[in-house]
Amino acid sequence: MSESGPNKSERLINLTMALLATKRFLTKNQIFESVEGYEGSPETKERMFERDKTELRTLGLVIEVGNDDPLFDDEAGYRINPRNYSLNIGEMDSQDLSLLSLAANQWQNSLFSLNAQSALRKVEAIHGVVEREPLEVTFHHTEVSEVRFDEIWRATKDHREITFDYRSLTLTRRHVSPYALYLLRGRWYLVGLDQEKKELRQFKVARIGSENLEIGRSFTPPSDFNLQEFLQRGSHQDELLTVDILVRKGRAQGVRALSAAREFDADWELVQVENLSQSEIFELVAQASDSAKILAPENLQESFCSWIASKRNG
Amino acid sequence: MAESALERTARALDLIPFISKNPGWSVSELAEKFQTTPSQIMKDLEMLFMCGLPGYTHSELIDLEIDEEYVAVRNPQNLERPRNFSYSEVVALALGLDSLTSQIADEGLIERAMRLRTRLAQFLGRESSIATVLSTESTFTDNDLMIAEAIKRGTGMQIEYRSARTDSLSTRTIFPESAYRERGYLYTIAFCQKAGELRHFRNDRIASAAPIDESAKDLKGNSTSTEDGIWEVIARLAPQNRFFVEENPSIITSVKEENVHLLVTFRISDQQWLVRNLISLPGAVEILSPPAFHDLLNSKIDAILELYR
Repeated sequence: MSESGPNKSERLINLTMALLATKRFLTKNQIFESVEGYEGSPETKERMFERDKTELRTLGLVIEVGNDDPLFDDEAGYRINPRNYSLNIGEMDSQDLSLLSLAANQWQNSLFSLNAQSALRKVEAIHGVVEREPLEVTFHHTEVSEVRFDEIWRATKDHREITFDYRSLTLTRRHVSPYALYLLRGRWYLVGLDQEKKELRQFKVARIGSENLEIGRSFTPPSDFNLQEFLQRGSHQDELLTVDILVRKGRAQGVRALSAAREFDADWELVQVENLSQSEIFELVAQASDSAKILAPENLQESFCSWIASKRNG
Repeated sequence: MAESALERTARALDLIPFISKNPGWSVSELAEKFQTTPSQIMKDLEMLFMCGLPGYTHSELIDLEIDEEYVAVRNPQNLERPRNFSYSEVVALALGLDSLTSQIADEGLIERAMRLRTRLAQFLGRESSIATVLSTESTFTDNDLMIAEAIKRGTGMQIEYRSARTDSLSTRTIFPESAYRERGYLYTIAFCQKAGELRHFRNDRIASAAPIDESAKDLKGNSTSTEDGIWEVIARLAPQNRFFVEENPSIITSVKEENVHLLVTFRISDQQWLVRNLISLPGAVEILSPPAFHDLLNSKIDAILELYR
């Protein structure tokens, strides 16, 4: 039978306050005698207390277990150290608080939004709520809300394996140990060990199917995984090329944005572009339609022509 | 979804320190702050009234002053200080700060945000590396800063803009109203004198910019908005082109998954823009309707190939 309603919340609050108030470890019996809300047979009370303890721990409360006299093998007791319980964030002025308040309002996804707001309320319970100072934050950021973000975040945080449908070039079922998440250009990406391929892979969270997401057993994340290092290694190592592109006068603005144009002949100008992959060059030149032409290297010209010809609709 | 006793406990534990520090809020203001309903806040307060320290006499209970328009704590007992951050809370706040920092142009403010970030990092502990925000461009160009200044002062500027729509360079007088960052690009929303309406400009396509002293209200009103016809184009896209669908929700009215292909309906006013973009996608694109757009796409491809003959 699961309990709900005010009685249980009331008992959990009373228990928290009692454990927080005591300097000595309180044994279960002392708790049952002094804390309001524990009723029924000894077994019932025992079960209630075990559940309450687990639930308070899921709230993040650190319940210490021990006894006051180590020389006697007494029954274990419980207490909450006020230093662990309460938030200690140090001094803040109104500009700091304004920044935190803006930071808490960054999120579109409901989970981070709720968590950030509740963190902010805790800070405001120490420093008070300030009228937000008008800070000069000009370039507002847009995060795209992903349907399954909440579950994926929890699985990553709690080190639980996940299985999901992934839409890439093909639709596949993936079984992954999630290690980390990162946000890039408003999109969330998941980094994890693909269990079939036994390799670290990245997944765009938006491409994870909204149905058939399963949370599996827990795993121990490797101690040598480091997200920053993983990201620095980079995921694609395409060869980077230098290319000469002819652009019609006054046109092909996308190409012109990358580098200055030089005179070529009556109709065309020449732009040299460096450090682009072949696919980036193709996209750039095709975007300009018949206002841009690859001049050199010649082999790139050929592969561009066969690529563009393949796009003709029958 | 019904709220669990635990969620209620968490909120109740957070209400006491919040009200202690911020007395005098009304029940509905507290409800808004705690993202719940006034009746729920009322129930929480009534419950807290019954809670206290062992003994549970008057002097050991939490004591509150509850009026719909005024809530205060007379005796919080030992709940005066707020609970420590949970892991998810500190991650959400720290990453929010990272994301915010990439939007600030003022150096003093950036430094302050980074100091705050360091303070939050100490709450993350050993698991600090399971989530991060990668900022792509956190530096601002002179044009970006000029736009920020124009927004602040309400003045206009003259720009040369590389239009992706028409693939041409045009000179325009614009009055920036606000700016935002989306998928790594900065955009400015500005009243464009030429178009006679608000337009979005991608900052990196602004080839040159110069401030002017006129303010926006002097010039608005002579609207010359043009309404081209609206086209509906249906296309089947290869799976490599999925990113294009993800990045252009505003011109797409429906997406159907066909095994791994995507059946997409575009609604656009500018066929030339769409045709150039579809040609430049890495994977195949099959135009299903209308026939005129199918022919337009083929004629564009033929024109490109003609350059190399």
